Amino acid sequence: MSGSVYEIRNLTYGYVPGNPVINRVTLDIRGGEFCAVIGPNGSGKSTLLRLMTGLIKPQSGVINLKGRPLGSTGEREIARSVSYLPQEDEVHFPFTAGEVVLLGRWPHSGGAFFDSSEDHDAALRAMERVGITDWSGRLVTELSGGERARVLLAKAVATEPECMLLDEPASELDLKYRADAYGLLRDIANEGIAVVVVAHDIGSVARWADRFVLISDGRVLADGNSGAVLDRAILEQAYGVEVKVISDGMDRAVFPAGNGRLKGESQR
Amino acid sequence: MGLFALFAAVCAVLAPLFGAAEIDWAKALDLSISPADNPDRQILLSLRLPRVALAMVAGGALALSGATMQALLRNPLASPFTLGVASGGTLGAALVIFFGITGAAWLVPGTVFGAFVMSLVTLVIVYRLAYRDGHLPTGILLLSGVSINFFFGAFVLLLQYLSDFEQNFQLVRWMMGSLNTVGYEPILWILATLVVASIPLMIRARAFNLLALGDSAAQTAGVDVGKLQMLGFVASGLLAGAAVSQVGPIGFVGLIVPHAVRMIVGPDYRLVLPGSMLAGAGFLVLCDILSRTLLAPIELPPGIITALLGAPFFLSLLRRKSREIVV
Repeated sequence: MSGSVYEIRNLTYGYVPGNPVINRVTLDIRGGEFCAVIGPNGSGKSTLLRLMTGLIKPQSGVINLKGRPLGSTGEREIARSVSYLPQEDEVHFPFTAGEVVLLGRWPHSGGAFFDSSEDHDAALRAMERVGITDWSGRLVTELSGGERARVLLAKAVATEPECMLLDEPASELDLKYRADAYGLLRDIANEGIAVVVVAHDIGSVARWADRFVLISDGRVLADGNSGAVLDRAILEQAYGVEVKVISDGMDRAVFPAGNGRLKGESQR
Repeated sequence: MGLFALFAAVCAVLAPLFGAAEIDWAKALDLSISPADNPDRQILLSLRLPRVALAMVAGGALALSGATMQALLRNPLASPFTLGVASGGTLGAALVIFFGITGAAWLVPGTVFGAFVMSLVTLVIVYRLAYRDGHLPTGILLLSGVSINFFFGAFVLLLQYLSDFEQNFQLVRWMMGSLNTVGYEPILWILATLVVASIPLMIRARAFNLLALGDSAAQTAGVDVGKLQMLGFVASGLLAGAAVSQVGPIGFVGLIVPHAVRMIVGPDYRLVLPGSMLAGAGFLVLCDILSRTLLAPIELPPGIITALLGAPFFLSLLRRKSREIVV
């Protein structure tokens, strides 16, 4: 069992003073685990990921990456250890899919002008794993949203980091590719990599993730396996809507039920 | 890349062959005749060649500036003049002309000086307006630059309105651009800027590729986005300022050449930046040849030719390869 990749202690961050988006969050992320971060819109999931990349700095609390404070770890080193897939996919010029995946190797080749053959090999491996080898020469600007999401996933995989932070990597994928993507991330976690995924499609990720962190109002409301977190009462408390959870073996279907309100809430 | 170098080289070799006066080439290249007795040689060395060299460095500087600006703003509509450097430069030239700071001849060092200083002032103003916490946020940079562009543009119009006929004529001619030169000083000015600006840009060309995937993606890959933006902005502004102050605000080169290059080599800035520089050099020389031959002996200003020739050429490319430009 690998040790903790991330140690997060009493992390607090707010865009406006006095109104924390992340409120005293304490969390350990270990290598080899596939952790799904779930919670309502605006609960602070994406902010937590951005804090973990160092893109934004916490007002208080500690983030240690591999035992060292994130703030005193160089950007290049963070980039080599952690690959981050932002929620919004931006590709502003017509690069080919192959070129985009190769850009995932930047943290390793650094300031070098040319890509090394190792970088090419890693990019090819990543494209094989995501199943997009055929697209190498296709223009990213011509791909559909879901296709582009898979190219950017391959880019994150190509970095071959110790931890992957992915913000809704599957939101644009259809049923099959959702299963493919989460299955791949499961494989990667099994290789000892820490995988943290922000997800709204709880049902799709339920089979693959071994840990669920439910964030609500900037706090960790529940943290544990699917049996512990994907619980009707806990989810209803977090989302403020009547929820149905149907279990079938490893699968859990989670969906809003009733009229979109909690039972007993007044009908306006 | 060889293609663009070849294009630039062919244009450079052909260009001295065209001009208002007939040159006796055998005589011009005959080194046994002393220069004082050899007007053909004098025309070649002090008029034709400097003019070609000026067109090359100015075209290269403008196209490289435009390619950099497009990378920086992640916007294919950006040009060297988007953020107001050219209208700042034009205002500088207009002030010099309006207050008659330097005699009556047009394109005297006075306008060059005024234009260059005001280009730099514009650069500093826009930088200060857009600077936030170590970064030049794209949206704020674009809005600040475009606002300053209009602001200085209005000042130029005001000066034009208050100017007399002759000053107006001078200014309008200045704004159409000119590649007339009798010496090599203007060329050296632009060349020096080109060397100083292009080296750091080329070294960081790969980082500009990552910038196209968004600030977050670039920053988390280990690129110092703030520093890269400052390098791009200052380098692009210096190149535009140096070129505009010497040859006037010749448009279109900096907008279209990077696009044409991108259509041929793809969007990788390791190819787009040097490719734009070379193709820009060739393109402006080519435009200059046409400006001297189309209505010879009348010489047309290069600022007119670049768009008259460039727009149809670009539109035809657009018809055939539009999918590779639309982003």
